[in-house]
Amino acid sequence: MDEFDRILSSEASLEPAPDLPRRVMTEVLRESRLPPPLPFPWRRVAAAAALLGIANTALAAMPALREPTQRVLTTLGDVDPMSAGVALGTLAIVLGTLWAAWRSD
Amino acid sequence: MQPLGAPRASDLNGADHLTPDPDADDVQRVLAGESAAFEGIVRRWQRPLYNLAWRSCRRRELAEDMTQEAFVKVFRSLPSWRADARFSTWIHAVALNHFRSRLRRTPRQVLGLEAARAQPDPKSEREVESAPAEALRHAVTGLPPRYREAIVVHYLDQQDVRESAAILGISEGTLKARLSRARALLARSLGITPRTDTTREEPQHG
Repeated sequence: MDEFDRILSSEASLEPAPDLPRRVMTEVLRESRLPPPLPFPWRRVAAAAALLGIANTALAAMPALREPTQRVLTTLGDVDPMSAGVALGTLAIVLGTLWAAWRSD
Repeated sequence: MQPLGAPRASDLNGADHLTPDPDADDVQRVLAGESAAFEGIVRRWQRPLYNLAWRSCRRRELAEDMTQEAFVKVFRSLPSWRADARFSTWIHAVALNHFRSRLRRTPRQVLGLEAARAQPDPKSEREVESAPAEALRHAVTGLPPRYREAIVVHYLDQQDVRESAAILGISEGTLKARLSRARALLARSLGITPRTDTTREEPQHG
């Protein structure tokens, strides 16, 4: 064992402040009275993102779907299809979340 | 050999002596809603965690703050402790993670100012330490986090390589490499030539 080892392993253990347990417990008990934090709804977000991806892919891959969609968009005016898709997807997520929140009440 | 930072018999209180695993018992009670049972864990582990914090920063006030915050973190994380894992390993790892992020957020100049204001603790043995010993221990706090943690954990309570590596979440080989590198960095910062082997002698078992 060299000098480094001797010095580093021979350091005396210090005593924490006597009131440390009291301070910790005050904080812990305060914490335990708080309502648990709301978890982020990862599953719902993932499901909505997956649905959005599927819808976009279907729209791009199937002319039968693309044509009526384009007609609707033309009716609505000069709207970029991608922007419209994102907007509709967002709206679907919002409505889905509201529906899920309503169901869980 | 005693696990890392395991409370000494003198740290234990009353009936805890009679319980085979007071930590597991207290964890169960806390998880069942009896938050006050956490005090047993605090009393048993305040000294090891405080010394871990102290050796990571060498600032008494900061070490106490970090220890207090680490216990709150431990309280929040209790549901994630698996009973088949050693409580000592788990609680040290949780505390060490907290100390790492806390020290990352603490500006170095703040640490320097605190050091300048720090008064020597008359009850500690630091006053009678030799200057080179004190210089070496302070140099540890200036190491990059991965090397500082390797040194602090490994030398806390004469810990062996396996347990230290488990706390740090790395392999034994990685720990040995970090210890070797840390010793080289310490030697360079102190202007001396280090020995070339990797770890201190392992304690004799049995």
